[in-house]
Amino acid sequence: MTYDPNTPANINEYRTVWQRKMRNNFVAIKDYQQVDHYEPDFEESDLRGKHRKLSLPAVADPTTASDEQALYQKDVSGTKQLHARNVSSGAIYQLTATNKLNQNGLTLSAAVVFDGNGNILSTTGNSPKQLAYNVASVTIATADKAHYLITFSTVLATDDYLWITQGHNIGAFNTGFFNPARAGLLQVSPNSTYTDVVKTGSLSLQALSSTGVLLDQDTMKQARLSVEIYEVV
Amino acid sequence: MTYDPNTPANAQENIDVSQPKVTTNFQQLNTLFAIDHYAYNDSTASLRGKHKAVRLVEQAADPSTAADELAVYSKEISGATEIVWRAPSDGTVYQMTSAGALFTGIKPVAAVNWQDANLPTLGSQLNVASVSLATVSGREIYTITFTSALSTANIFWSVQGFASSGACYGRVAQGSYATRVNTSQIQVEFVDGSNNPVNPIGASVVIWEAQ
Repeated sequence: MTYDPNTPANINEYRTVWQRKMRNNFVAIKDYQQVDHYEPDFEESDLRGKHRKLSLPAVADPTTASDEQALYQKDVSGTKQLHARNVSSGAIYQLTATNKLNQNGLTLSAAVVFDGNGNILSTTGNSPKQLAYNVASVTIATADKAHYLITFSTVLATDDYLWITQGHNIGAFNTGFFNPARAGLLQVSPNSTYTDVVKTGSLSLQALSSTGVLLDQDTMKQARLSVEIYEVV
Repeated sequence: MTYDPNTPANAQENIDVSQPKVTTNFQQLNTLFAIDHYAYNDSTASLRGKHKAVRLVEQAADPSTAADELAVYSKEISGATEIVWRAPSDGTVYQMTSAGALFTGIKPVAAVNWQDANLPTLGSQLNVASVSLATVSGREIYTITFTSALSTANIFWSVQGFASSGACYGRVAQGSYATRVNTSQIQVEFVDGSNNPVNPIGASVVIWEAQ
C-alpha cells in the first residue's frame, strides 16, 4: 500500500477509485505514524501523538533556526553516532562515541572503587549497586601486597588512555599523609615498562609508601581506592 | 496551501469544492510530516515514519509529564537555546547541553597521555598542542600547551604519573598559580616522597572547566 498525496486526483475521478485511495492514505498515515509515535487511534487517547521512540537513520547535517537545536545521527568513521547542532545552523557536536556519551572529547571508559583487599565496593541500601563500570575484577597481583590488577570487562581501544587513581588510607589520615608506612599513594605500578602495566585489557596499580615501598596488603585493608579511566574520542 | 481540518465543511458541500480541499490536506499531511520524518510516500518503504532529525524549537514553558514519561525539549538558559529533559510527573528539569557540549557540571577541556621519561612522546590528546620538558632551578618542569586557549585559568586538574621505580607524585609545579596555570598552558612536575624531581615513564593529565 502506498500513500498518494494527490487524492482525489481531480473532480472527475470515480468515487470507487478515490474512496479506495483515501482509505489507503488513512491506513498509511496510521502505519507510518506508529513507527515512532503513538498512532491517531491508539487505545489510550492521552498517548495519541506522543513519541514512542526516535529512530534516527544517518542523515546530512540538518539546518536549524535561531531558536532550535537538532538531534540527529550521522556516520563517524563508519560508526553511527548521535549528534546535536546548535541554533542558526551553528556548531555541530558529537554526543556519543563508541557506544558511550562523549563528554566534550573524552569518554569514561572504566571506573571502580575498591578496598585494600581488592573487593569492589557497592552502594548501601535496599538495592546495592556495585561501584564499577567496565571492570570485571580487581585482583591481588602479588601475594599479600597492595598490588592490584584492574581487568576491564571490555578491552579499551588503545593503551594511550588517561587514568586517575586516588587512594585513601585511614592510617594516613591519622598519622599524616607522608607517613612512610601508610602514604596512601595509589599509582600505576613502577619497576615495569609502560606496555607491561598499562594495557587495553588491564591496568596494574600499586599502593606505595612515600619512599616507594610496595605496601603490604594488610596495611591497606581499611583503604578505599578509586580509579577512573578516560579515552580521547 | 493550508491544512484545513474542517474538510468537508458539511454534508451539503459540493464535491467540486471538497475535492481540492481533501487533496490539499493529503498533500499537506505528507509535506509537513516530512519536515523531521521520512514521508509517508518515501521511496524507501522501510524508512517511512522514522525520524531524519529532531529539531527542538525553544519552548516558553516546561511541558507537563505523566507518571511514566520523560520529555525532551529545548528552552532558553542563560540566553542560549539548550536541550533539557523533564522527569516524570512534572518532575525536575535537567539540562542536557551547555555551549556545545553535554552538560555534566564540569567538562574536560584538555587531556594528554605520554610515555618516555625525558622526551615526552604524546599518546592520546585532547586540545593539547605540545608537551615540553625543561630543567628550571633543578626542577623538571613539563609545560603542557593547549591548542585552543581555555576560557578560564580556574580549572580542575588531575596529574598522574609513574616512574621506573618508587613513588611518583604528580602535581602542578611549585611556583605562583599565575605562573604555572593560565588559559594557554599548565606546568606540572613529578616528585618522589622526598620531593626530589622524577621523570615519569608514563603520565596522564586531565583538565576540566566548570560548565
